[in-house]
Amino acid sequence: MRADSPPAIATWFLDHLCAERDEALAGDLVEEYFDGRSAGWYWRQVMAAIAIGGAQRVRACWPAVMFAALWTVLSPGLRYVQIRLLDDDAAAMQRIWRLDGPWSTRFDTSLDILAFLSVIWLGVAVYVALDSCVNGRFSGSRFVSQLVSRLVRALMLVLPTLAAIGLIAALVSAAIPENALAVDWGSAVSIPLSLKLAHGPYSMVFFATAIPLIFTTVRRGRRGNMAIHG
Amino acid sequence: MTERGYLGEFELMILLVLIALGEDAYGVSIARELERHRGREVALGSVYASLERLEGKGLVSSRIGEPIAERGGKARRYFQITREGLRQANETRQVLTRMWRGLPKVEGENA
Repeated sequence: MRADSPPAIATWFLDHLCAERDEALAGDLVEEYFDGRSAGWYWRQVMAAIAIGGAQRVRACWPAVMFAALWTVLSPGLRYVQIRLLDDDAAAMQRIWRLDGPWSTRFDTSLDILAFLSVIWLGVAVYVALDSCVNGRFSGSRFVSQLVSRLVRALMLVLPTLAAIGLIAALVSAAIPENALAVDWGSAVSIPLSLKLAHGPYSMVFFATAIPLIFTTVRRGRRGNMAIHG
Repeated sequence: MTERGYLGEFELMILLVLIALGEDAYGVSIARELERHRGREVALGSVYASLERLEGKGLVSSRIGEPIAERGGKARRYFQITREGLRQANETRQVLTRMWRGLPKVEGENA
């Protein structure tokens, strides 16, 4: 039986994942739904709108995406330097590339999470500074407020993203035989395997967190004007 | 200054629909008209994305209507083709017509 109102979860997705759209699209979907379209049609339209909106943002903000990708590539090195300051070389390597078991997210200490946050925050700081300088609108007080706002956002984004991607990583690693996950740290040959298995989830978490943080720094307005959000 | 560039297939279709619908063109009516001609479902998100691109090029203008209770209190956004949009649609038609005329007749084709 058809519900009296459009699917609430789909509407929530539309409102929160396609925020740059004005309300005309949401109103059109509601109008069509009440005119006899199915819930399946509504879901398809919402998913398409989110995908198209995402593609538009990537196209409009490609420097931010490139920067997030570059920072993701650099992040293990930065993380290694951080941990190396606190630990010896072998322990730092183990901490970076460790795979403890199927349910390990590799972020089992608050120190790991703080290290992760500080690397991502540093990336956002560099991007905000570069963007401000390139666009000739650098202001010390605004720079500080942007950084503080992004640090808070990173705190809010990192834990749910870690939980979601940690779960996916756990499911993937549970499907792999246990001996395939055993990493011999003394052998240089074993590193590519650990890179493939352990750095995958880490990179996904990092990139998934970096992208929205950088996107919210500078977003192109609907009518082509640059706008600062946050 | 208006950005000069070729119109995409979907953009041209939207401009033609805007000409056909006149002042009452909004998301739903544009999508329905496109579906009627193309014979397949159209994503409203892609219609809006194209309309926004066309608006950015100065080929389309828009205005927000009054909030409507049947739409959950949300207003319609009406779109209209601009003079420049009309000129570019015409120019594209002329180019396409010339190109079609220049083609040899394909087997099984009537016109």
